[in-house]
Amino acid sequence: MLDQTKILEAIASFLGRPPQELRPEVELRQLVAESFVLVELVVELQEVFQIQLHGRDLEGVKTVGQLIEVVQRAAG
Amino acid sequence: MPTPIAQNELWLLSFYRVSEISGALFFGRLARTIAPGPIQRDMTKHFADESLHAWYWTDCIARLGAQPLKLERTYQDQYLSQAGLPANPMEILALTQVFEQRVANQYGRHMAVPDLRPEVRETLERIIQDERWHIQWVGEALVALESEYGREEIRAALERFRAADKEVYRQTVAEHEQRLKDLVKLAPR
Repeated sequence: MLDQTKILEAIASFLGRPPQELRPEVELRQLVAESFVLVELVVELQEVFQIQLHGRDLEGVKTVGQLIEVVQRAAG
Repeated sequence: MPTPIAQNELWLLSFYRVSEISGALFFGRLARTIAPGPIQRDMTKHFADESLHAWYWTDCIARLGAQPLKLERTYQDQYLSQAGLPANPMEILALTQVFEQRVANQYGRHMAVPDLRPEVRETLERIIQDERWHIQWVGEALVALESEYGREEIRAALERFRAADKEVYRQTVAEHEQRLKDLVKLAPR
């Protein structure tokens, strides 16, 4: 399974924030001002980890921890 | 001397302007992120077009002797609230296709408003030409993505975003009924 730390680092790098700020319970909406940045983040994660996500995968995803889990699942 | 621009018209032109800015920012970000290839190329052109359109509206408003209104929430924001985030390039293009069709339809209806100011007509004409290409390239890109995502998956994404578009348009018209009344009474949706 894809290492959680690697995903966290990719998210932190994209957002330009230190990884330690991105606790699992932190809401993604607190980290980005616009929804479009979230779209870009999700595309970036697919490019970095060579995975494919769909809208249904993101339903109910609100926190950093939940996003990491979705990426892990997609990576198998 | 032309009559000063009415507040409703200024609101609508400002709404177009801010929507074009949001589109430019969206495609600009994605053009930076998405993998190299034909989609990246066309998306970069699309980004450039949307930026120019934002300029055209800014200039149009200035030529009408006014300044753009500051509007916070854009049509695109409402799309994402309604339909959820598009999660991959195919879903982004499906959303774009539906959105561009709405924009082309809206600008087309605006062109039919009687006694349109020449500055507005000229701006609409310039933009509508680009919108045709936007719909074309996105449609072709979606066909090209069928081998990767499957025709049924693409059809479902288009359906999801069309449903969201219908609802967002309904809400927008209801919320800004007075501002849009000249357009709403013109043509069937």
